[in-house]
Order: sequence, then C-alpha cells, then structure tokens
Amino acid sequence: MEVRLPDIGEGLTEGEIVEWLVKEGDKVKQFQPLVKVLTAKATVEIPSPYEGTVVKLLAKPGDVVKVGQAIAVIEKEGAGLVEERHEERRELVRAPPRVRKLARELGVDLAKVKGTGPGGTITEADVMRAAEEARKPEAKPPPPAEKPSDREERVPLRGIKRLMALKMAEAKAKVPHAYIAEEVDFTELVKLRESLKEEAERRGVKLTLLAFIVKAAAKALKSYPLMNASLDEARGEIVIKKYYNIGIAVDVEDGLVVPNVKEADKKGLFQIAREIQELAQKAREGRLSLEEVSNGTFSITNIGSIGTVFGMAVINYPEAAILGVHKVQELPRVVDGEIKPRKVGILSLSFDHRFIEGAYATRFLLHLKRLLENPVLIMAPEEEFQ
Amino acid sequence: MKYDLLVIGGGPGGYPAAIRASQLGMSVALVEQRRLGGECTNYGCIPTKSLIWPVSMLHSISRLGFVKMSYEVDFGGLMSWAEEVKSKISESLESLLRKYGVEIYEGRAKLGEVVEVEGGPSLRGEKVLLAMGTEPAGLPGLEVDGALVHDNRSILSLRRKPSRVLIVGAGYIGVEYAALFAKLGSEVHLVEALEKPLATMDEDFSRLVTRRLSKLGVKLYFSTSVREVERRERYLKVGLTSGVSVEVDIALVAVGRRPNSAGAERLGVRTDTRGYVEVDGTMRTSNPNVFAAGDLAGPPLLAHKAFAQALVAAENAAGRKSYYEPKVVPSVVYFDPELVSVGLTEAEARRAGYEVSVAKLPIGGVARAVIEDSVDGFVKLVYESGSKALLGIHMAGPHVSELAGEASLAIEMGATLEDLALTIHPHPTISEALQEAAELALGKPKHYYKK
Repeated sequence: MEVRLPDIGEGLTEGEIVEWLVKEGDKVKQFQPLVKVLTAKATVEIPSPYEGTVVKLLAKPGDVVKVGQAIAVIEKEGAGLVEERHEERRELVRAPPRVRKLARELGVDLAKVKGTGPGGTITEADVMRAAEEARKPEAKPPPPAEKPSDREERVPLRGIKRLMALKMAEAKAKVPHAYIAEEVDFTELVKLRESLKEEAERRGVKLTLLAFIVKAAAKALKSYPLMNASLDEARGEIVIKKYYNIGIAVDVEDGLVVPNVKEADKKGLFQIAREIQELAQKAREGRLSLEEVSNGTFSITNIGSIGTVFGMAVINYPEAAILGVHKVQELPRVVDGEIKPRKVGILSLSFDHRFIEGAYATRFLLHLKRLLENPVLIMAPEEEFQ
Repeated sequence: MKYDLLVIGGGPGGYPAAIRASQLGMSVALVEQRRLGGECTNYGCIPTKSLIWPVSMLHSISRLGFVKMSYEVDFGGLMSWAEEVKSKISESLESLLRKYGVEIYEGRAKLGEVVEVEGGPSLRGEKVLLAMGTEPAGLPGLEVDGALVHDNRSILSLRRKPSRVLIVGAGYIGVEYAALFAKLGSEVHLVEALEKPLATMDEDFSRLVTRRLSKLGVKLYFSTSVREVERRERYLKVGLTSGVSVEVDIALVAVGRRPNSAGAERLGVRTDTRGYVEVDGTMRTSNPNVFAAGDLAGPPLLAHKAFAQALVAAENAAGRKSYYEPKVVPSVVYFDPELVSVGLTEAEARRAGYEVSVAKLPIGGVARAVIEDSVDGFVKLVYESGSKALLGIHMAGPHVSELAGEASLAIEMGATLEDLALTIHPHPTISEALQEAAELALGKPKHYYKK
C-alpha cells in the first residue's frame, strides 16, 4: 500500500522530506511517525496510516514532494484505520465538441481543467488558459554549475532557507511595500520593565521589551483594523481579522521562522513574555507545530536585539504589515528644554500599500508610539482609548 | 499511379474522406468493388427506409376507423422504388466525387504496398484509408442462396412478395424487416437466440418491440435457434430448437456482421480478435501511414459514425490534427414506433461510475402522439444526479429519429435537465416530449400527473 503525503491543512501543496524516522524493512505501528516533513510553515511528522512493514521509501531527504504523492510503500498488516479510498466515483467532464477539439489541438487534458462556464462547463477560454499555463516553462533543472572552483562553494538551498527564499520572493512580488519609521522614547518603558523584572523572575519569566511591544501592538491593532487584515486577491476583498495573533520573527540556525502568540490581546504581559520565550526556544530546536506558525495576523521583527538602528522588513505575506523594532540606545534628547539622556530606538513599519494608505499607517504607528512612551496606557483597560 | 490518399471502399467510411481530403488539397483515388455508397446506400439505411416509409404510412392510415381503405402494395413496384432511391443517391455521390476530382476505380482491391485493382491499374498512396466495411455474417446450415435464403443484400432483389417469412436474428435489421413484412401481410416468424429482441439496447425497448410485434401478428421465438433446414424447391422447412417446425417461402439471416479486413495485414495493420482494424483517436492504424474508418474500425456499425471517422482520418492524413472522440453516437431503429438511443443507458451509466437518476415520460403525454394515433412509447432521460447533466436519452415514439440530433447535441454540449426544460419546444410536436421529460425529472411536469 502506498503512503501518500497527506493534506496537512493550511492549503499546503508540498513539503520537503527532512528526515526519515523509519527505514526499509522496519515494522511500524499505526500512527507511528514515519517521516519529518518541512512544509511551508513548519516541520511536521507524518504518522503511518497503517500497521505493517516499510517496504520502500520513495523519497529521500531534501526531496520536495507534492500533497498526494506517494512517499513510501508499507505492506499492510491488519486493517488500518484509514480506509483506502476508491476513487471510482466519476464526474462528468462537461465540454462541448468544439472545446474538446480545441483541447485536443492544444494538448490539454480536460479532466484537469476547471470549467468556468454554466454549471462548470469547460469553455474555450478555460482551455486556452490551461494551454497557456502548460506552456510556461517547467522548473527545469538549471544547467550544471560552472567548473567547481576552490574560490566558490555551492550550498544547496534546502529546508527553512528554501522556504524563506520562496516566502520572501512571494511577498515582494505580490505586495507593493511602503515604509515609515518613527523614533520612540522607551525610557519610561525600560523603567517599568526594571520594576517588574524581579516579579517576572520569581515567576520564571524573562520579561523583555518585546513582550510589552507585542501587548501594545495588539492593543493598537484594535484601533486600526486594516493593519490586522489581509487582501483576498481572488475575490477582491479585504479580510479584517478580529483575532490578534502576533508573529515574532525568530532567527534560527539556517533561516527565519515566524511563530505567533495567539490572541495576544487577551493575554497578560507575563503570559505573552512566557510564550515568546517558549516559541523562540521551540523554533531554535525545530519543534514548532504547524499551528504555532499558522494564522498569524501581524508580525514583529526585533532585529534591534542584534544591533541595527534602522531597517525595512519584508511583510510576512499575506499579513498587512510588519513592525521592525530596532536598537534601543541611550542618546541625548531634548526634554522640556533640556538635553537629557534618553533610551530611544526606531520603530519601522512596512505595510501593504494596496489597501493601507500612508496616513493610516502613520496614525497607527504614532498610536503605538504613544502607548510605548506612556506604558501605563498599555495596561489600561480597553475602553479608555475609544 | 500514385496519390496523396488512396481510399479503399466507397461507403460512409470512405467517400467522405475522399471529399475532405480533396478539400484539403490532396490528390485522391477511391476504389470500390460494388457501387458507391457502400452497405448503407445500397443494402442498408437507404433501401430499407425507402421500403419502410410508404408501408408504414399506409399501415398507420388504414388503422384509422374512419378511413375506408384497404391497401394493396405492388411488391415488385415497392422494391423497384427502393432501387430507384438508392440509384439516385449512389449516382449523386459519384458526380459529387468527380466534381471534387476524386478518381474512382471500380473493382476489387488487392491490398499490398501497391494496391492492385482487379482488372485495373496498380495504385500507390502516400497515405491509405481502409474502409472496406463489414459483410453479413453467415449462419451454418442456413447459407445464403439468394433464392430461398437471403441476407440483407440479396433480399432486396426479391420481386415477388413472400407470403411466409422466417427472420433469424432480432437485432435492428431483423425487427425492422419483421414489422415491414407483417404490414405487407406476410406471415412472419422471428427467431432470436437471446431471450429478447434488441438485446444490446435499453430493456424498455425490448419490451416495447416484443409487444408491438405481437400486435402485428409476428410469431416470436426467443431463446431459440434454428436446428435443421430442409430446402424444398419453392419453400423451406425449418426446425427450431424449441421443437416447432415452420414452413416459409424465404428466410432472412440477420445475425450480425463480420469485418472485411482480409489483406489488411499486408499493409502492416493490426486487427483485433474479431478482425476489426485497430485504430487510435486519429483513426491511424498500427501503420502510421494507414488509416481505417467506419465499420472496419469496429462497432458501432453505423453510417453516421463512419462519416465522422472518415473526416477525422482525412484530416490527419492531410497533416492536420483531428480526433474522433464523440461523447455519443446516436442509434436509431426504424421500427413502429421509431426507437432512438443516445448516450448511456441507466445500467451503462452506473457501471461507468456515475451517480445516476432516471426520468421516464410516456409519449402519450404529448398531443402530437395522440394526433398521430401513436401513443405507445416513451422518453427516458438518464442524468447525473448532482449536476443534472444528461448522460443518455432514449426515446420510442413517432418521428423520434428526427429528435436524435437534438438529443445528441444536448449531451455533447453538456446540457442539464434545466437547459432542456427551459428551452421552448414547439407545440404540438413530438419534441415536446424531451422538454416535458426534463420537467418531469425536475418535479414540474405540466401535462403529466405526478404524485
């Protein structure tokens, strides 16, 4: 019996084989993890649908397999829970004769064409479109690299880095990014953090500025719903999300992952801090679940923790915007007519200019700045802001 | 002599290809050993319908109580009429082919790399189309002699009406002739080895045919075969497996057909176990320069299927891209009433894996059938339950042969019940039955009471 890469949800269409957890000849139990697969979002373990013996592994680490593609052959013992589905039910392919003729001429397989005519009838235009798509050059293996040389090294683009490449290219290709930035005076927030530090430590939590920023961002997003939205291009609709799952960009060994803090608006500061800590830990260990990297609504990249004073981040598509938190440093600033040392840092915002205007984004960022500079407001109940 | 396309056989699988190839600029020769038009024009569709039409008209009219008429048919005259019709059609074919510059060679073709026409030249074709068709299959013990025992070809040379006729085989040829002879006043015995007539068609057709033939006084012997035959000078004595023995003036053998593929192998052409030439969707045989079309390329053995294949073959021979891939090939039986089958039967559709529903409307529900005193029949729609797209249309009723085209178009275009129901059909015509059947399927028939 063939084991196929299951549809693991989230509209995923393919995954990369990371590591086989069984080898040919192994006996496996039903639901025993067979293989680690890296999807566009996370590494997931695919369980065996049956009890039996692994006869053959059909893909090797590094291979990218499509959902539905056979990845292994398992000789079944006993009845598996997952019944083999007989795809015998036939659906009528509805295409008038001239469309079928055209399909023949263009070499289009009508069974694979989605009809847009009445009742799903396949039209000439559908066939033309399918032919057009088929004509697009297949991703052919590139010509072999130039002669190997000691002066260059070629590293295969695999795993998280490959996904990063795909995601970033997609985001930049689809979304016209616009950027704004604002200096924020974190002096009060740093003070507040200092005062809570001990309490946090007692609870086993490392309280970072980032936790405050997540909390503040969730709050600010509620007042600026478009910042917590995405564009449904197919339908031409803006999808405004009434949940606030704030993604945190985490730098891992060979790439970037963005797990998110679910419902950050409903969580307390310590809890947010604890979750950030856990997510970062899991990310570094490659243990993030699909759920933890799915359904984000807004992202934050805390690149300042490494050092830069300003940057322009790429949106975590299809989210509307990403907030860049840059280095917070003590600098002289004028306060009430006097030069004083202040802890300042720049917040940058990259946003989807297809449905967010610069003015709207600026107001959002200023609102966020106000929260961060007056941290008591972060903690204040919602309605006081309305 | 060398041609771009050499067509072997001047029937429906051959002559349209010759015309199409000529339209596409090819030089074309066609070889025919008998008369242009093939089985259809000379022995099948054309002469039989020429016989059936006047006799059916007479029969229908004479059944009306207020018509004070008894009819007598000059049998020789009737047969000459059929001869006249087929000559007209065959001659017009010849002149059409000549106008297209097709060179016609009369004679039997001996196939090979070079095709030798008996008593004529040797011909070469850059491309060759085989369209030699089929011939009547024989029945051991009842060999055709053209006097007492006939097949569908020799029977057309009858000039005296047989008063007693035995027909062996209740396929469409058998049932058409059974009704014809019965209406001409002959005593008809119809023998069929299977348990019902038109065994390959929808069950409802078999029942209707059995009922109608009985009404015409035809003696039916199903699940029965011919056991022994005594040929006397002027009649036959035939013993059936059921123990019955009948005396008849003539016997008509209509037990099937066999392909005329002898010699095809010399062209490197593969045939299947029954002798039909194997072809792909472009009508190419296993030899890429040789095409086959019509009966020779396998069932269904129908002229209109042959026409379609002939065009495809010619276009591919001319280097164009063309495929034979109809959804449906309509079949018509010129019975009383006419029978039409388009697309899948209910059983076929289920076997093919579709989720199927069926609606059946008695033809008596439409006014025109009542007007014409022909209310025995039905329209049966087979459709996909979910999409309500039509998969099959089966009809029995007056003039339904003329609706076979609409039914085919509906299925080819992917029409649904609604499409049929929302298309206004003229009143009073039999075509309304299609609309009404669709309405019935949708639960809203307007002339039919639905519980």
